[in-house]
Amino acid sequence: MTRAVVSILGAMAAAAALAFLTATSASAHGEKAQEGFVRMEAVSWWDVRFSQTSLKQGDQMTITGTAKILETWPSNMSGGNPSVCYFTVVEPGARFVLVDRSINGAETPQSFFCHKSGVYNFSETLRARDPGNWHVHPAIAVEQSGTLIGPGQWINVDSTPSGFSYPLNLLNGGTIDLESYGTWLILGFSALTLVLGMWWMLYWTVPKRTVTRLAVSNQLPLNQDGGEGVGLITRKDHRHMAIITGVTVLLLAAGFGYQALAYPGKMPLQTDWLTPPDLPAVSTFARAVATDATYDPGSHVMTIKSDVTNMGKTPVTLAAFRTAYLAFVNPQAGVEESGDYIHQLQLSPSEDIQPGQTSTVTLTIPGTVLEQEEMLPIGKAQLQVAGVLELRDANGTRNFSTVETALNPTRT
Amino acid sequence: MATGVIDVRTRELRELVDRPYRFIDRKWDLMFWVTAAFVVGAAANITMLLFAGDWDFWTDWKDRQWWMTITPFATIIIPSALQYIQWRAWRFPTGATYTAVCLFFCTWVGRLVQWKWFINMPINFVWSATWIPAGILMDFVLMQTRSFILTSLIGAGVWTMGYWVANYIMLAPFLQPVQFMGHTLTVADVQGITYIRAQTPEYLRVIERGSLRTFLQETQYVSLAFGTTLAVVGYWIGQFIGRYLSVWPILRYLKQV
Repeated sequence: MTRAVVSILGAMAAAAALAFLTATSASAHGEKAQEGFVRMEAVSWWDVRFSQTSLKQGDQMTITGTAKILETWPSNMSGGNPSVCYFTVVEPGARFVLVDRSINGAETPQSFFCHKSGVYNFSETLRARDPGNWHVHPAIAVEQSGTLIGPGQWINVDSTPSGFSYPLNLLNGGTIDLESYGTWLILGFSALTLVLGMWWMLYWTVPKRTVTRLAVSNQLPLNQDGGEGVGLITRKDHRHMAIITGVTVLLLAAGFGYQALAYPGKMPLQTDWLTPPDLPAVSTFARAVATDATYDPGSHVMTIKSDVTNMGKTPVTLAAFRTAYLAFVNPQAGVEESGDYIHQLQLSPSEDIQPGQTSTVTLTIPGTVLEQEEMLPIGKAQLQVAGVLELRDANGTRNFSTVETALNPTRT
Repeated sequence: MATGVIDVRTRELRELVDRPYRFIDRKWDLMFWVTAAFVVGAAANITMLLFAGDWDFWTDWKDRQWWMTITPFATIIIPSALQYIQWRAWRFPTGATYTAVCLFFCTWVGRLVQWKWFINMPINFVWSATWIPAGILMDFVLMQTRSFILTSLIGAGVWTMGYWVANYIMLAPFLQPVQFMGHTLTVADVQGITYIRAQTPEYLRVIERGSLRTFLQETQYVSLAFGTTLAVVGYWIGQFIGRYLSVWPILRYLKQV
């Protein structure tokens, strides 16, 4: 028996040790679990930047960027019409705290009203809380759909001797440390209730037998205890229980009085949802329509054909194809972005589109990246690709044109 | 003659209560209470998680309208079943308190291990409510009335009120107003925003958002009344579990044996 117990405990300890030894830092946050076509059709991200990649506990960093809810938003998510959104951050636990968030320049502490084709410039300021190396993504959650993440970044946080605290000013002028505020009231009051509960339970279970009372209870109607004569429940029991109940009522009354005096001016939880202001309008000087896409599993290449029309007065460059959190940039376009999520594409023809001209451009995209990100919809319910084509004129002004087309693999 | 019969009967039962057993000693009692604690704690916790998990997880879900409407119903089911089982078997008015104590340990282990140690959420954001005062009050009602009908009516009320008062005391500091991101919010709202829950966005909160039906602006007390009514229903769901899914199959088996 002892040997069996020792063996089981040993096996559990070995399994636990193995789990810890083989565990690596989290570098993905479930984005690949979402179907590729959903990620491509739902939201595109661009210009995502992290102000710092290394900081100390208590230091702040800001994530800025743009997310667009695409016109191609899937019809089976949020009824095809997203309406309530929430900008957030995906990180492994509460390693950072979010101290500021604005959308299109407006402070947005909570959810906001969003819509298809909405473009949202966001800024999220985080304060480092836990030392470590953490992978952090901006993300947008959409009601009745889920959370769609943007490009991520490893952030290193060094510890400081003073640790982390979170001072917060109350409206009544007081300052609290949000990390520990109210903790002792919670622990102390909970412990007092536990004492009462244990008192009640120990009174019945320690001096009295349990299992053998069944022989007596079985012979009594359900709504009788036999009274003092039988002795299942005695007058002493009633007195004792009345005392515990009285102490409980006193504790509740005293606690309620305490909170009323100590915390005046309470208010209900708030739901300050708002509609962010629109961004300044940008004149449309070019538009793109995707006409066809193919994927060759043998060569791992995806091609997208797109008709690009220049309606402006200067030549237009196709600068990038952005899909979900990935960007495939034209190396000739001078796109100043870098990171794990930036890759290159090839254009054919590679020349700029002249004013008044419509050109059919073929984008050649490395399929290995899409395969790694499980973005290809082959074998999925919708064989479609979608994203945003970034078009730039000679002045550097940008247009973002949402494209979507069927994907035809050379084989499945 | 009748008095004599009752006295003999009473004396027989009294002797049974005091009878020393050779093989059924206190180790059986200890084994029962300790092993049952895990089952009862898990059953109560799962029931709460199914119906009212998020209201108990986070301070910024503990609102005036839904917290007290849903949670008493969700949490009275297993205490009610245990009240029946422990009263039916041993005439112990302990079912609700026992469940509350088991749930107390169960939820606090969960909060400390899952929320504090694994992902370092501050405990003042993810603290567990206490059901123990409510359990004591409900067991006291059963002991005094010896009636499950009266306990369902009165006990459900004291369960709801006991639960609300006990936990409102701990919630009060987090309902203080604070200026945050240019908005006046409660400390609890700020906790929900600042301690990031990537898969629990703010719009998921099922909390009071206001409506034309203001109930004379006494949302809290109307919710407590609704919560009590639902708790009566929950109490009888628990009785069904205790009577027909727990005790009845055991008695049927014993009769066959």
